[in-house]
Amino acid sequence: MGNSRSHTGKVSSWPLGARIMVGLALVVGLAITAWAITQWIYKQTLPFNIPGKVLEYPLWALLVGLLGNLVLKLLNLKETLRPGIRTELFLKIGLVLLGAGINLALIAKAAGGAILQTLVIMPTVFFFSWWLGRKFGLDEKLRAVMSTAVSVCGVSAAIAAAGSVSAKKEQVSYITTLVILVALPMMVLTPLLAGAMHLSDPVAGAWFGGNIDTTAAVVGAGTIYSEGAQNIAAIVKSTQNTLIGLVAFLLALWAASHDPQTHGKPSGKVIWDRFPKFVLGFVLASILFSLGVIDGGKGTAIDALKNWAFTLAFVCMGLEFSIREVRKMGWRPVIVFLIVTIFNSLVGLGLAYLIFTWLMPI
Amino acid sequence: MSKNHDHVKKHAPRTRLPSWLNEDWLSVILAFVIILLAAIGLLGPNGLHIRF
Repeated sequence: MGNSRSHTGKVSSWPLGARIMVGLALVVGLAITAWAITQWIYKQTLPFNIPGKVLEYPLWALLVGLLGNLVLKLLNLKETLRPGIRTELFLKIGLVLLGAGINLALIAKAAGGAILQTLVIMPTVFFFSWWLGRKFGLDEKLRAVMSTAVSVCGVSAAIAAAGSVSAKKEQVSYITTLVILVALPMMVLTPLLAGAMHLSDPVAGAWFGGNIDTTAAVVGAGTIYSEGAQNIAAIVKSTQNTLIGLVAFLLALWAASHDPQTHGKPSGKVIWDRFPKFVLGFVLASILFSLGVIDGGKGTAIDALKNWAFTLAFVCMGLEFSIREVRKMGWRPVIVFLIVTIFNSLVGLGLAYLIFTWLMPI
Repeated sequence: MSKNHDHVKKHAPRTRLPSWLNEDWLSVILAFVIILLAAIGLLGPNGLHIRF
């Protein structure tokens, strides 16, 4: 970070402190712009009565960052301001703050059916996605981010998984964009399909909650169907959300023990060195929230700062975006993502029907 | 930059951060500072009420 010579070999004449401060100021300015766009979109109703809230803030932060990226390239300032573009730092601060709003006790309180469904569907979808991604030749880190996003809970899970396995920024922005864009039609289509199949409220709600990736779209689909479906959908989704920490922890452990430098036999010290410490912060914050020591739930300052940290991180991702990296990934991740989404829908529907009609009817 | 200045810079004591304080730990520390400020009420409805 301290070099005045960039990785492309260009030398910046600016002092490092100025590069950091101006870079940070730019990131904050762009984040405020993304926030203003998000606030406006959230109040809009999209065609087909879709609430604007489904177009979540990461999408706008990423787009604003991409525009900034283009301008910086044109002005030849990208390398000069790079020291102020701190994606990892903002991402990890946001993740620890995210933990401060996840109640581990919820899993004990939630309906038994939701827990059973989550425990079956999550590993099934995760390992199917992992296996299919390998068949399509996808990179391991991209597979980890995608599998977690589809099986756990969309954007937050993708970010947590990316941090755990040190995925590339392009991989996170690629999957996050896919998650948001696929959740949008799912939110409209699944209530229509549930209606055509005459599903009961609990079955429909459990299907939405276990199938649609983003929380906003899950609530949206439940709202479109019925109030009863909305409640069950929220419980199932919340049960999945509580497992972000566990999945992030296991992925971090896996990534640390699969480091190529360790030749497959890592010592405890190497695992500790490679282990992302923010995961520990995340778990500790969750425990403190569950015990009632802190409150990072919806509407609190911690929750707002978490969203700001993620907005800053996504702006940075846009600023650092490299089209060359995305070209390298190609269309295969999109195909895998869509196949896994269809698989998730079918397994989720079968499980929701089995559990909420026969095993644990409400 | 003069040659003399270069010499001064080379031998000036370097204020380095401790080796364990990487971006990972820094994120945890900053996040818990935010959590602490919220817990004691400096952030929130009775203090600096940051919203999103």
